[in-house]
Amino acid sequence: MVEELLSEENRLVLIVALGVFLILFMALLLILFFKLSQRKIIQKELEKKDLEIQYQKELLSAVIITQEEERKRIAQDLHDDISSKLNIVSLNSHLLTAPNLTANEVIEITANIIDLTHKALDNSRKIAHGLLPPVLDKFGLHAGVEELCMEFNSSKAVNIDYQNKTTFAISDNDKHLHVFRILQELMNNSLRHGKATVISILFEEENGIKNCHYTDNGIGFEMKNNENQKGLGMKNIESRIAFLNGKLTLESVLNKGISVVFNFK
Amino acid sequence: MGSYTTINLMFLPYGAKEIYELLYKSANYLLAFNILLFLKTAVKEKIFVIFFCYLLTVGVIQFYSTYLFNKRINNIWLSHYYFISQFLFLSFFYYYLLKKRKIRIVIGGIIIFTMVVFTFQYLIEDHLFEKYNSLGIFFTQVVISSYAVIYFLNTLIKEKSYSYINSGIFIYMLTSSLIFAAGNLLVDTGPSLYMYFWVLNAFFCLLYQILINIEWWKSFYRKKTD
Repeated sequence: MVEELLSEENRLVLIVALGVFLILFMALLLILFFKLSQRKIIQKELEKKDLEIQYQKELLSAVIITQEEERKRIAQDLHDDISSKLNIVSLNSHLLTAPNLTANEVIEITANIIDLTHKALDNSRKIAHGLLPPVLDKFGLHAGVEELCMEFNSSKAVNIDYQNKTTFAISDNDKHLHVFRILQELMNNSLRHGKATVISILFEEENGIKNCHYTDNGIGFEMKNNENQKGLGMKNIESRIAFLNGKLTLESVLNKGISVVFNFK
Repeated sequence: MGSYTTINLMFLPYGAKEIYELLYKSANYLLAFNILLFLKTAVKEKIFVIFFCYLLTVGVIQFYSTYLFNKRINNIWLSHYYFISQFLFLSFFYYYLLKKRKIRIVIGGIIIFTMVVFTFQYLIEDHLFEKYNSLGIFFTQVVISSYAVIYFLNTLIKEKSYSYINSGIFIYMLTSSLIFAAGNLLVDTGPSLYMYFWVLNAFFCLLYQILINIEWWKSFYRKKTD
C-alpha cells in the first residue's frame, strides 16, 4: 500500500517535471520562431525599400535625360531654323545700306527680308507650339488632343480615331498637360517605332476616375523583352503617371500593336 | 522567487543541495546587480521605471523570504505578495510597451477584473495565506506570458524590441507557473521530491536574471557610448 502510494506520487512528480520541460521546450521553440520570422520580415522590408529607391533613381535619371534631350532639340530648332534665317535677314538689311542700289534691287532685297522674317516668325511659332500647345493651355485637354490628332492625321501616314466621353476642367490643366505629353509620346512611338496606320484614343470616366485607352495596329513588341519597357520614353510616361497617382497597364503582342490603359483623377 | 516553504535542505541528496544553493545564490546576486543596472536606466527610460520597481519589489521579497527561511519561519504567505505585485508591475510594463489602444483596454480590463476576483477570493477563503494560491499564480503568470506573445507579434517588424527581457519573462512565467501551481499538490508528496522542483525553479530564476542582464547590456549599455 505504501509502495503503491509512493509510486503514484512519483508518477505525479514525473508528470509535472515533464510538463515543465515540455513548456520550456515549447517556449524556446516559439521564441526561435518569432526571432526567425522577425529577421525574415525585416530583410524583406529592406529589400522592398531598396527596390523602391532604385526605381525612384531610375525615374529621376529618366527625367533628367529627357530634359537634356529637350534642351538639345530646342537649341537645334533655334539654331537651324531661326538663327540661320535671321542671319540672312541681317545680311540683306546690310545690303540695303549699300550705295547705288537700283529700285528693282531694293524691292528684291526687301521682299527677301519680308519673306525670311515671315518664315522665322512661323518657325518660332511652331517651336513655341511644340513646347506648349496654346490650344491645350486655353481650351483644355480635349481641344489639345483634338488638335494633336489633326496634326497627325494631316500627315496622311496615320488615321487617328479620337473619342472623348468625359469632360476636363481647365483648372486641372497642370495635370492634363502630363496626359497630353503621354499621348504625344505614345503617338510618336506608334508612328516612329510601331509603323502604325490606325490609332484609337478613348477617354472615359468611372467613379470619378478618368481612364484613357490607347491602342494602335503597329508592329508592337514582345512583353518579355524588357528593353522596350525600359526605354527613356516609357520611363518618362511612367514617371508622369506616378505623378498623376494613376495606374498604367501596357499590353502588346508582336505584330498585333499595343494597348495602353492608364487612369488619372 | 526561491524558497517559500520551510523546506529542509537535509532532504536533498548529496550534491543537489550544493547545486541548489549555487543556483539560488547566483540568481539572487544577479537580481541585486540587475536592480542597480535598471536603476540607472529607469532615470532615462520611463517605461523601465516600472520594470525597476518590479525588480526592486521582487528583490525585497526575495531578501525577506530568505531571511525567514534561514530563521526557519514559514514564509509561504510572502508568495501572495510576490505574485500579485509581479502581476501588477508586469501588466503595467506591457501596458506601456504595447501602444495599441485596443490592447491597452484589454490589459486594463484584465487588471481590474483580476484584482476584483482576488479581493473576493482573499475575503472568502480564510486560510489562503497558509498555502499557495495555485489558481491565482497560474492565471496571472499565463496572462503575463500571453502579453509577452502579443509583444513578440507586435515587434515582428521592429528591429529594437527588448526581446531578451521578453523571452525571459515568457520562459520564466510559463515554467514557474507550473511549478507554483503544482505547489500545493506536490507539497503533499513529501519534501524530498518537491525539493527537486525548487532546484529547477532556481535554475529558471537564474536563467531569467541572466536574460534580463543580457538585455541591459544589449539595449542600454551601448546607448551610453554612442
